[in-house]
Amino acid sequence: MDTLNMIISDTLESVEDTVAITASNISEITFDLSKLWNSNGIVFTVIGYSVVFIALLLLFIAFKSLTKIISFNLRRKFNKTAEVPTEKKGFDISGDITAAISLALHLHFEEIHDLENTVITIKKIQKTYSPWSSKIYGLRQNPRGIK
Amino acid sequence: MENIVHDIDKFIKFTGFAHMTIGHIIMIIVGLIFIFLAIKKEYEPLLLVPIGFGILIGNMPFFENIGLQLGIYEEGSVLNYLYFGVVKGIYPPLIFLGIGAMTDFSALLSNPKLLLLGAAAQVGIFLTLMAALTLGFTLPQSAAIGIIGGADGPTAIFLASRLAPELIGAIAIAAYSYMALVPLIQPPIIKLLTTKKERLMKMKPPRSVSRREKIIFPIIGLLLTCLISPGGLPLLGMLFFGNILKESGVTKRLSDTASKSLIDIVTIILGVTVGASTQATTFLTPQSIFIFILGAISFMIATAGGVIFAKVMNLFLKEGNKINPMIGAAGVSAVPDSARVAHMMGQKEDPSNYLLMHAMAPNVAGVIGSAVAAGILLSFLMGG
Repeated sequence: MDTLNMIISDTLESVEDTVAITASNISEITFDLSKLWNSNGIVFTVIGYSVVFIALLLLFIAFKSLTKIISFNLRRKFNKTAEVPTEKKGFDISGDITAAISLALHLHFEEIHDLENTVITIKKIQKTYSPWSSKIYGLRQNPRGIK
Repeated sequence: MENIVHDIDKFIKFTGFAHMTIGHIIMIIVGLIFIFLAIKKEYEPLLLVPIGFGILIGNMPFFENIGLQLGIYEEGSVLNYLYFGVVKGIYPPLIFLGIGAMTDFSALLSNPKLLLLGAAAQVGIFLTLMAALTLGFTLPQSAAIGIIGGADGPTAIFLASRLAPELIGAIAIAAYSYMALVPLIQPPIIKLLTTKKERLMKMKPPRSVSRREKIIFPIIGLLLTCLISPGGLPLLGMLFFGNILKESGVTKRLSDTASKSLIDIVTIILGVTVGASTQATTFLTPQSIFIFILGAISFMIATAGGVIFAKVMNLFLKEGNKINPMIGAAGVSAVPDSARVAHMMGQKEDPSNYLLMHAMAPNVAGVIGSAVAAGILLSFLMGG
């Protein structure tokens, strides 16, 4: 009983301690706008965000022009050899068709289809030799004595 | 008789009951809520189950600091060794390797302007940084708290491990919680900022992307982003490395390992140790509560930033090229949940409107954007 009382009193003490610590720490946290200026928070924010934006803007420009560069080279190559057929110029597969082809390929490679593949799996089982199961003495052999 | 009583007393002192505090009980309830949300509601179960169970593990009370080496903060314990990867920021780059090997950047490559949405959504990081500063957090601490708005758990852990290791537990838990709660947090904000007409907007189907483009992407991506923001090298380097393993087509085994076994192993260890780091005796502080509040604000601002920027972009785009503003919300990273939210909301308005592919573009751009932001914060604050 004493032990139980001790545990309860310990627990209550720890709860009181936690509440006391929490209350004191909350009173330490204050709202102060001047800290933004004192620690260069605004300058830091503006520069930081601008750099993130510029990095992704550069990526955008790079990939926007990348497509053009690739197609430009192809066009030049085609011009040297032969005229590109008119249908090929506007060759563009729509998203729906791409999705259908992707699904078909996925099903094919993952073998998720309703037809069994044609590989027949016969397992070779090795048995120890015994005259009782030997084909040599089997009934399908013609007995030598009978002609 | 006295000896028996003494032994029983000693035994009781060593049980968890003797050291149970109200804090432990609160944290155990939090852990159970996480597990409930993961199993019943299926909110990010791959993260919430390990984290939720980790919270239970971390909040089993015991006799601390008497050399038993049990707790996550006790040197030499198994959990402490596993937690080393979190504290030193080892796991996040490995997760990024897996993400890179899993992610198809085709949607982004077919419509590169959506990269800007990923940049716009990072506004949450910087505005929250300012809010945290006004509340008395130091600049490095504020930056670590702000990164929660990037909605990228590994990035948040990586940055916190460098800038504010003392806050890593709270920041990691906040980041992962908000990632899991994307389906609850984002829809009201998106709905508030968009009209029905905008939500019904259909986008042009993305063009097909050549293999050459996909291979060039990680190389140019790495060069450009890491030259601007070398601080993000561990994350961006691994992200693009994982992606080239996938897109090269000649390293299928490596790409499979990175995108399946490796990322699964790291996620398990990361989740359970981050959960266990919420030991009530060190975790339950007013600072943690403020971090949670600031994290939520950061996340909301980021969502709003993406949506508003998409609307601004529409002002300059031609009729056929306009963007459904809902996909701007996917710029907050949180792959692929935020893209799924935009898609589901679009489907709700018009079942024939498929936005998932389009939303994946700002979503993966958000991953790059938050890693770049983390790199910049790291370079500025650690470089003096």
